Amino acid sequence: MEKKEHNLIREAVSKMLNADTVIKRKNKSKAEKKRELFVKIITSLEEVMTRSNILFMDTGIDYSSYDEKFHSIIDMLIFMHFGQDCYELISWYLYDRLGSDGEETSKLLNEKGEETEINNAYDLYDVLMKVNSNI
Amino acid sequence: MRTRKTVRAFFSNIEQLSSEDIAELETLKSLLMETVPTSVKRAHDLNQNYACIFEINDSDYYIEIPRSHWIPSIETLISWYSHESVQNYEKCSELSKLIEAIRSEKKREKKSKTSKTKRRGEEGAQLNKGSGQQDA
Repeated sequence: MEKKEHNLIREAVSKMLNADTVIKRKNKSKAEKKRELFVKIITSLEEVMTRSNILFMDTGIDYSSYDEKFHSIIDMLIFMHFGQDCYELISWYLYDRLGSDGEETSKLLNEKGEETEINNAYDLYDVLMKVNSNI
Repeated sequence: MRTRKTVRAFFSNIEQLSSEDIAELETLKSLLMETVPTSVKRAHDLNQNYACIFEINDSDYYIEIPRSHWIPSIETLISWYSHESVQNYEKCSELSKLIEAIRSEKKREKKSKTSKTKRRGEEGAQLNKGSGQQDA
């Protein structure tokens, strides 16, 4: 998006709020870029799974056995990079959150019995950082 | 520590639109109703001069409100929240308290600046007195 469009948005917000606004450029830190990349990966994996389910429901075509190898490679890469504990969390988020009744579980209990809520990929990343800050 | 994420607003295909058209978007209005109070409160608590309200797409460009315009923007939000279609008076009360907090911070700053200027003035006067005696 060009600066002209940015200015259009800024003018619109200023008009709406009856207050001046400014545009500032801020470079994201390395840590923020890493987090954004992680969120993009997880979101894309969710979209791929949803797309396969919709295809199956609409057409009856089941690509799961064809896709299995790709998912297996992704799982192994996640395990390699994040380690056992984080891999289990990510797997839970991607594959086990949805119950058989279609209800989504967002709460997890840790070993100490403390509850953590994971509603989206950002929350997942925050929890992973607590488990292993070196990822 | 959980880091706060700045909200990202996605705009697409707005080349054909004017700023007036964009200003009429209800989704943008809803976004501002959520993000402006949180951002201004955070900036006030951290003693910052700009409240960052959202990032445009994934561009590293952010829309921010300078300190001198926090109160007018919150006043606009109060009018939105008190509108008959919303009628969230609890939120209006919260926003009024935020305005009071910002105003009392301004008064405190003015007082401390005035007392500093006064002290400097007195010190200057004493120095001049001292040098006058020496010359004599």
